[in-house]
Amino acid sequence: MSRFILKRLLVLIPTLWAVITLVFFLVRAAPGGPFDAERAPPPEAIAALEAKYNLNASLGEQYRDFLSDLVLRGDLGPTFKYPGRTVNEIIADSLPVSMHLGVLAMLFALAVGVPLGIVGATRHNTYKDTLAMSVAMIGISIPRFVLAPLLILLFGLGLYWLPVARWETWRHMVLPVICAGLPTAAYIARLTRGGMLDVIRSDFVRTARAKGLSERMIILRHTLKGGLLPVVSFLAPGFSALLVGSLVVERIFNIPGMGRYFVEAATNRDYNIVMGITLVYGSLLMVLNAVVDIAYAWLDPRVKLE
Amino acid sequence: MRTARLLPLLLGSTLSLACGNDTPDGYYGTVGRHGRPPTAFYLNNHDEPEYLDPGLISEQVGSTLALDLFEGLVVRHPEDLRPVQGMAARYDKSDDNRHYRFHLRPQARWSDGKAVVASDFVYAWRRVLDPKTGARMVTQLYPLKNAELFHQGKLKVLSRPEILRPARAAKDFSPGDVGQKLPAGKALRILMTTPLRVGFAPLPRADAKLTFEHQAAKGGKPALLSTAGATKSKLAGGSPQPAQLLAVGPKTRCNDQVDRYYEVQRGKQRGWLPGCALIQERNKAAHALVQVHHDTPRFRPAPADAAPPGGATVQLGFVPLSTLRSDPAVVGVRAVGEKVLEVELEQPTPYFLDLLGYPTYFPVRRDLIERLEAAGKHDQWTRPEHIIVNGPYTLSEHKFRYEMTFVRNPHHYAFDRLKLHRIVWLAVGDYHATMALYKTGEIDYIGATLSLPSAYMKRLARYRDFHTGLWLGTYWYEFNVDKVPVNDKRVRHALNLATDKKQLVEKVTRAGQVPATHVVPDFTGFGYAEAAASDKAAGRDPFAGPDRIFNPERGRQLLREAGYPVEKNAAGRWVCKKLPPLEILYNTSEGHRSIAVAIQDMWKRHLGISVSLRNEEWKVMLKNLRDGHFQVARFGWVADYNHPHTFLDLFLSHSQNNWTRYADPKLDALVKRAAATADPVASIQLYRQAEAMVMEAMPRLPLYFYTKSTLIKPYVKGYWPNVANEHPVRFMWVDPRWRSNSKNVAAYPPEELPSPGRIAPP
Repeated sequence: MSRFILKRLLVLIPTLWAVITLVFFLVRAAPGGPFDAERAPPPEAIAALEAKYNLNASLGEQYRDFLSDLVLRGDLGPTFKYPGRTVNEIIADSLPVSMHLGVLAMLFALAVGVPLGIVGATRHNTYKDTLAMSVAMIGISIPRFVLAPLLILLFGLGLYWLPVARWETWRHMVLPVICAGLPTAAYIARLTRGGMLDVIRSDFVRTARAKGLSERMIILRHTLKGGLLPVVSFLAPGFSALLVGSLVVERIFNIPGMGRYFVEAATNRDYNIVMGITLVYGSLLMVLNAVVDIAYAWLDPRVKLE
Repeated sequence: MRTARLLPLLLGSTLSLACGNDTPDGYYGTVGRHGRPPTAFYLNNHDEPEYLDPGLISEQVGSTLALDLFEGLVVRHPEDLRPVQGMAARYDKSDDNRHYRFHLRPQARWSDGKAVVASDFVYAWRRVLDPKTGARMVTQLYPLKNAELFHQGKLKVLSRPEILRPARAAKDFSPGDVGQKLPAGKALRILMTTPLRVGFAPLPRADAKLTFEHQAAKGGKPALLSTAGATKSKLAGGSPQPAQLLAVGPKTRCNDQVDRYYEVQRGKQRGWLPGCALIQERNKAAHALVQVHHDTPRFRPAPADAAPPGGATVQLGFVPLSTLRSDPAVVGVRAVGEKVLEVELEQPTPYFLDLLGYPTYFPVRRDLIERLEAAGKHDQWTRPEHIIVNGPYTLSEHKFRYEMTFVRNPHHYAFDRLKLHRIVWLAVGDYHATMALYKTGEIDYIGATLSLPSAYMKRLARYRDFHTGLWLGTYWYEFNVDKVPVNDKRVRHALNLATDKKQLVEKVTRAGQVPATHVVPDFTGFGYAEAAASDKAAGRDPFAGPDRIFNPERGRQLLREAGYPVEKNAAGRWVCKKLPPLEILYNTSEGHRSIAVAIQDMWKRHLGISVSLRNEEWKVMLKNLRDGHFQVARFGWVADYNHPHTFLDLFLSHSQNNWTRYADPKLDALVKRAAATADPVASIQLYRQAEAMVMEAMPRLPLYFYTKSTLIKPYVKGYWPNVANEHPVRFMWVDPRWRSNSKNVAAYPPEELPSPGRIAPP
């Protein structure tokens, strides 16, 4: 087991290196530079700024400096758009907020999605199943940028129950968490139902029933564990999709997370932030995938670790 | 893309639903304040400022904050923007408007209690002009004597006495003065450095052509290096071998800029080339070809009969580069004692007092900045733990990209008179979120930096807390005058005549914008608005003739004259088949797209031409504008100061922001003359003439003058819409008795500047 984990983690390094190298050159190849502005600054000012940020060096030198700063000191460099602030600072400020939102949304999604899926599977082909799955279908189909204003309209501007934006108290978190988590919850409900239906029809469940175990026991002990396998394998991509998708939720609810840098950093040509985002999300994704593989092995004894 | 289009639609319907629960008295959302004290104020500033350092600010998000954190020599009145007392309590000026003397208020203090002294301003201005600072709005300081040359590194002083080594020179230089010993501290203007390379690297634009006037060289006829018909490629293809500068020749123009011929030797080749074909190499250059610069600031107007400084001759020669150093004392600003600041300008600059109210001219603390830079903390002095300010508020808390909190600066002279004690600036980028926050009363004012989308204008217009005001800005289409078919002036005029701007503002932009027949907004200050109004009243508006206003028939006629016949087809529609393909470029945005679509339709309907549309991400579009890869492109300009010069400057051949490739030496000369004219009325008349000239050439097609729409709660007093869209919080206050008290006054009355004293010639 530990050898497997170690191997998975070692593969991360060359993969990450390849990704950041690709992004490093791609973002610099995009037309336009970080200091292009509506009011064209005098060439002297541009020259001074480029010298300040080492952008007048050759691409090779910039790449070498970037890698050595990153590897030796874990330093991603300064941002161009917010002078005096480093990319490390920005990530340290905003990543916890995004993670906070992501984890809450995932918990919400599990808390809603799994019971809904169980209802669907155990009351298979009844009106309860149809109802649960219709709700799930709607949840999947409504994009977050539609859901968010509807929630704001109803609970914020209509009923005045909850704040319409910002990230302060638990009351501020309710709407964004629902908005981020609901589509994921719907997806989880469908996965749970599908997985459980597969298991319910299997031989060992029939055996359990034949032994006269209570239905409740069968669900909790036997079918749920197996039925949740697809959900578990979805958790990693689901969580990363939540973080990536937070771009929309963070913007609409004005949450100071990392999502906004996804598009902004690239349009601002803020090269160092682009690298920072790539690195953070890249490693997060890969680590999550590795974790899923490991969890899978634990849940399903048929999966071999090699 | 689909998301971007759906979102406003959906949110629009959300909004219309949400509008259902208005307060009965016609305000947008609540007018209660959640038990907040009247001394606290909440508003949105749209985004995180790039800089809070006033010298480096280049966008409105930053300058909005800087206006209340710092204070310049003058403050602009919130109602009509006239300069009132700021750090300066009074000033003197000379009759020619080129010399100013400011007297600082005795009680002016920084937030750490130290007195604000004249040298704080001297330091701040010199810092902005230092090329190493990289200040993007540095051109705002170019009116100061020698500021431009200093910033470009072309004006240095001798660090030790030095002999001017002879350079062979053309006849308009005096050879007699060469060889004389110049004292240390003498200001020298660098014309060229040597050794250098022959080539074209630093041309202003990627597609610039080498065009210079051969005929300028009569008599000692300059020959070109290599061949007489040297082309860009031939010269650039030459060896990278260094060349030596030998002599300086007569004046010429290159790429529409004033230039000179220089004699160079490269290997065995020897000949004359214009300066634009020479690349100066900073690292390898050893000598500089310099001209003695006598025009250093004297801070007193010269007597009327005084001879030009240094006589009529130009002293010119070589000095070693190592003897030259940069000395900001050549710039026209100095401190006289602690409380007097003297300024000398390059030319009268009627808007100079106005400029003083902009952040680029605000003072900063040298000791603080240098201390943090020494500690390796560049750009960090504006963080709450370090910042020292001289404005009414100081920064007490800064949550990056989330919110900033201002509290009163205890040492500010108006401390006791400020009615708002705590200002919270949110950084909400999304306007839907902003409007929801405003509606629920979380914020009192949506802020000056946020623009409301045109789709909401009609709906919002019925609320009593919705305000629209004129804003000094013009939206236009740029023509690349080098590109077929818009290289033909008649085609450009035809397109202008076929654009129904009235319909555009009524049907598309819908925020009360003013259709524009010319580029400088009618309501621009310093006498422009008055001149425009009196011209109109007298029936001699230069921009109202049948060749300027919407007139499709005349447009079709012009197209025909240009060789592109416009005919009616069987269906009764106009068709112009022969016109080469034409494309409108705009940066990706719903607003720009709908304008482009409307104009595409107008040109199709009235001229029968089919125009394609291309949208690009902002930075990509800027690069393509710079490189000339466009025919027609959406752009616009918001005034840097309340004077026509800020708009006409964009048409000058050397302007960094002139993407059109339009260059006319006559216009350059006329604008220069207008700027140098001390009499304000005569000066504005010259600017109007210059504007008529650019409208005749039509390198830009003006569409409309901007307006600014906003939402501000009815209990906020001390706010007035103004053409600069500048709303300092210091004058605002919350009136708990607003329902019974409709009078709008500032939190404390701005103190008028006494009329200036006179600086007389010695």
